Amino acid sequence: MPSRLRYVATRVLQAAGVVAATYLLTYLVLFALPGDPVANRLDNPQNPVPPSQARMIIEYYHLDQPVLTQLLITVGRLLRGDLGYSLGTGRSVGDLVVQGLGSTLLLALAALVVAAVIAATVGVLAVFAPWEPVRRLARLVPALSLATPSFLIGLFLLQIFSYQLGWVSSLETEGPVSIILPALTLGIAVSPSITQVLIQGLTEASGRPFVRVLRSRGLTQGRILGRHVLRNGSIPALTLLALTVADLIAGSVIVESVFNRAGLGYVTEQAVRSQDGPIVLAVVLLVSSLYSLVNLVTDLMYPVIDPRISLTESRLGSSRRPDRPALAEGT
Amino acid sequence: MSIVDALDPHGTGPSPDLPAPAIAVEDLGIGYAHRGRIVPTVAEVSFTVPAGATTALVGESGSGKTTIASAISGLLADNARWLTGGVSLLGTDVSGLSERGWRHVRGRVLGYVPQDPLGSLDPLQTVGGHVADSVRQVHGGTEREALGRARELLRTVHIADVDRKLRAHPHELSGGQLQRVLIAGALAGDPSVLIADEPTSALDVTVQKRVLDLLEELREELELSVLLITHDLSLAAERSEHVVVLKEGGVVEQGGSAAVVASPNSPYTHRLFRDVPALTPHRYSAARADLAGRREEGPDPSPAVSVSGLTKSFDGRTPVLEDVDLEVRRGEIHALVGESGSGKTTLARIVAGLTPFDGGSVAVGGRPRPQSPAVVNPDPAALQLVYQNPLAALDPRPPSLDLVAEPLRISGVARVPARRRAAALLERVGIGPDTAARRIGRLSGGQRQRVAIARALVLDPSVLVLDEPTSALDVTVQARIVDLLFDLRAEDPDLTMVFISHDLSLVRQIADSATVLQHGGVVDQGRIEDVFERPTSAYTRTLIDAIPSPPLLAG
Amino acid sequence: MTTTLAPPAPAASEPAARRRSALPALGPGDVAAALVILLLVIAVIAPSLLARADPLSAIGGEALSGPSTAHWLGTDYLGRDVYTRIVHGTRTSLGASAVAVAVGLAGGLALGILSGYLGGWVDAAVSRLIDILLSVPGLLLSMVIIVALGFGAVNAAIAVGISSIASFARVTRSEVLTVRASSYVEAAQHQGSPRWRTLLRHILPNAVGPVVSLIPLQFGGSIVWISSLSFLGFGAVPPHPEWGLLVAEGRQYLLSAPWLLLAPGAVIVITVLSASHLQGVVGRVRRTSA
Repeated sequence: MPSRLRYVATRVLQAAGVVAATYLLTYLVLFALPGDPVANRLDNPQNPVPPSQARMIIEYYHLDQPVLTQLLITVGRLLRGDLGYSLGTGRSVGDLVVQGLGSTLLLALAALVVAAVIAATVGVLAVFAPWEPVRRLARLVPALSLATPSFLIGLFLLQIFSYQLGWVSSLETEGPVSIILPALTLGIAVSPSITQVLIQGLTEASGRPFVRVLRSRGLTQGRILGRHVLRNGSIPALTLLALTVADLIAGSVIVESVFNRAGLGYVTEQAVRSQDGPIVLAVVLLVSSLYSLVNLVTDLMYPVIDPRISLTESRLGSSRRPDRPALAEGT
Repeated sequence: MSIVDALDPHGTGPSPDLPAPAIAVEDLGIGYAHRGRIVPTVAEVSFTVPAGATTALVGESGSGKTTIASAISGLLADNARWLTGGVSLLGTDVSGLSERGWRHVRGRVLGYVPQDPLGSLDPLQTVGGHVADSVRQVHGGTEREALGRARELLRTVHIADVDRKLRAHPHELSGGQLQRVLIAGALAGDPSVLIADEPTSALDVTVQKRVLDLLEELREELELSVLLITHDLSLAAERSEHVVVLKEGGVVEQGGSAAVVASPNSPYTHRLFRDVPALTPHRYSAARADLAGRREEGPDPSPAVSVSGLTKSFDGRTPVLEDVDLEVRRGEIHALVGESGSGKTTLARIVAGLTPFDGGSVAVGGRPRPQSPAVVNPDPAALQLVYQNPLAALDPRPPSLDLVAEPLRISGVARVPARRRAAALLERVGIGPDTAARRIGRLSGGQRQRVAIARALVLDPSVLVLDEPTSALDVTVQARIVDLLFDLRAEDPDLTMVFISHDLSLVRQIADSATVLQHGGVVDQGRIEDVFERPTSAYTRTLIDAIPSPPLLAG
Repeated sequence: MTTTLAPPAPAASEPAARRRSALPALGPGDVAAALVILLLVIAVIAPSLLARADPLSAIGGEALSGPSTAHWLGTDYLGRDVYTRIVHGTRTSLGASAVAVAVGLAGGLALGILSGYLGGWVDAAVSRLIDILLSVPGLLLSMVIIVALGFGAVNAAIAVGISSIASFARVTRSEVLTVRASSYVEAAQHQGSPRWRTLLRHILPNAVGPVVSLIPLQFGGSIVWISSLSFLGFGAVPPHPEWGLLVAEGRQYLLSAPWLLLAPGAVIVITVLSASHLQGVVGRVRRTSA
């Protein structure tokens, strides 16, 4: 169907537009505001750059030219795959990013699994556990993890599992095992909003009229919950889960710092510390592209999950869908 | 005197030879736990549902009918507490049944048909899947067999194009079709008793008739016993052989429908039935004649509202109104009648100057309306609209008094006199100063609508447009509001009203003239007697046929 | 012959209006949260009431000593009293969060109201802007702004504030759109209310209410963000006793002197929990007084 294809194409263009605009805005914030980080960096008293290198950097980034020219040159380079060079170390930004990406993506994936498991467990307990105290306790969990910054979670886990119990070494990288604590930390840190949305969704779904009707047909509670309520109630949480990918990468900055892991987060942290604009810009580009991509895919996939939504509707419309015209009064 | 006789003063109960009643409720008392206390909702309720017939359980909101229906079908909420009494189905006591025990009863002995067709089905499951699941739950078997049986069931409830509908999702079907699917699902386990909980409240009146006809047909064919729960008294009177009247959690009266309607024993039932428009079509005849007489003496013959050749379409493509003509004489009540999708609300909103139109002309009090009306109404004193849902049409934050005073403040009246006038008007419509100080969230439905009416009247408009002003209200509350409207007209005979409604019996009761709309076009129009007794269009005749027509109330 | 209208029969069949209840019942959690908030407020306004000593001065010879009667929460690696530092750090931590919330709220309200009320291209433009801001996670966005502005508690506060504008704006816009489309706004216009009056009397009060009630939650979130930035070294600069910074300082002594980071850490958690508890109370009050 050409109109569907056209719709998809429009959405893809829109997403690309958002990414481009994000890039531009970030560029302007980083390089066009007074307090030019490049100049700051060059003049940084703690870590001065030798004049020869400074000259090279100025030449490369055309710092003597007006901002607009700089921007155009940067974008031109970007389209050719050249992300520039680090102001601090002079290494290629592209290399740095690619190097750190693998480790961080792995961490993010593991953390995603952790977050999903936590959200599912706590969510189901909070709504369906047969004992009231358990339900109340479960509802407190997201509030607690929301109140605890990720660095605290990480340090706390380190304290217990690494130092006290000695299960996991904090110093060496022991292969796959060393990802456990960081993944737990990051997963716990991003889980509360998913959990809360899941709790809301499950509560709302279990109060809907169709539950009563299914009971009247003789279905068991378990079957109703498992097959009907769970599916209906977890839809918003699933979409949120997908979008968490961006938060996971941002969260890796702290987690990699706490656990001394080398990855994109670490690179970003160092870049911020030394006000290394080009690296920060590249990371923002990466994250916003990833987010827009996931957002787009989720939107396009939504009709598959929820047959009420047709492709051209926004998924945000589903919760406010009006009654069918046959039932509504008054036109 | 046996218990049966004691419960059944009209003497139409079953004789000892007949089979056990389908449902027997004895001294039922149920409460709900709320914040540590138990609030009794239903007390000392006893009635029987004889086998093979339809019994209506009738009551207004808060009467406890849903609670009783839940108790009978084992669907009580978790915080419900069974205080006293028992329920038996087909002679077997089900009061003490555990959840497990109930699963053998549900669907198998007892089928349940809910209201709210769209929300009553899992939106992610196909319609066929739902019915097939219901079949398998009781009869077992393979998925294929269940689906085959589901196909049969859907045919039994007259669903067209069955194979396609089997694979459809709920949102693809209309309200009437969904209700049939729910009936099919209820019958999946071959029960002998059916509980229909307000099965047609959300449907148009013509659809309602078809669904209720279907229920009757099925009842005969399958020899079911039906308990019909409804707030619609005329429906109960027309469609059931026996009726049980509830009030605030207790049984007020029960017996054969015809007998109870003809001569109700309790004063409550008497008042209740008297407020039903279908049962008292001539209630306002005298008042209307009186008003007509006073109008003859008035000097101004020009129409209060006139519409000519009106057309409107949404987005330039979907036609909503086509070539509509309309004239409302000063001082009359003119009814706009139609089902959903007829365009009646759009027409009312165009007349009120809230919605733009594409062609034709609209004039109120002789002054024509522009095709694209200004967002801010330049002449609020000419015409005011009373919305269908007062909860949405009134700002929830200020006290009700301020809401009524606001139109005066807007037109330049100072604060103190404005509030004084508003207070006086609220008294006139039956809202005292204590109530007037509350926000609308703390008022009942009827009180809110009175506030809305007061707000509409405070500028002394010549025309009042009322959009289904009583559809969401209990029948007694509705009757009081209609009384109020007539009192207001008696004080000001020049006040013209345009009354939109889908309730034809109400329209017949109160309107002087009417316009019947279907799909955006006028199919019938004229004096109310002409429209109802000599309708020119087949559609109007269908509408009139569909009105529940119970035996009229004597006296 | 006009009859005076009798007041309606005492609503026998109408659902009774909800009786106005007094303040919602307060539980032990509410009391605890209120106490915590009270203490925090005192710590911000007059910290010396709670802690006599000077947070910056070291007491020689007592470095890294554990909790005792003299030092309730022990001393740090320079011998400074941890309890005192936490109390005096309250002003920085909470002050920064307050600035962040103020920035976010002001920006978010302005954008949301403009976008929701004016509609058209303004709405389209602002919505795109919100989309852009939302496509970058908050922490990363605040780091971008810090790179541009430089380090420090104030800059961190501004950065976090700007990062939270998007969520405030989105909620505000949604509320404004809902209220604008409501029947009572249309009814006001139907009664002849000029646009400014409708905006001031109906739209703003109803739309802004739900947004403002989000403040406690956002406040808690800002505390977490700001302490995270300080932990990384991008926020408050030593020797200022900001909570996140205190945790960072105590990090090296995780093994030898865990109280150095557990104490400020616990304070962060308790503060944010109290703020979100307050959120719940606000919600309950709004619902019962509706």
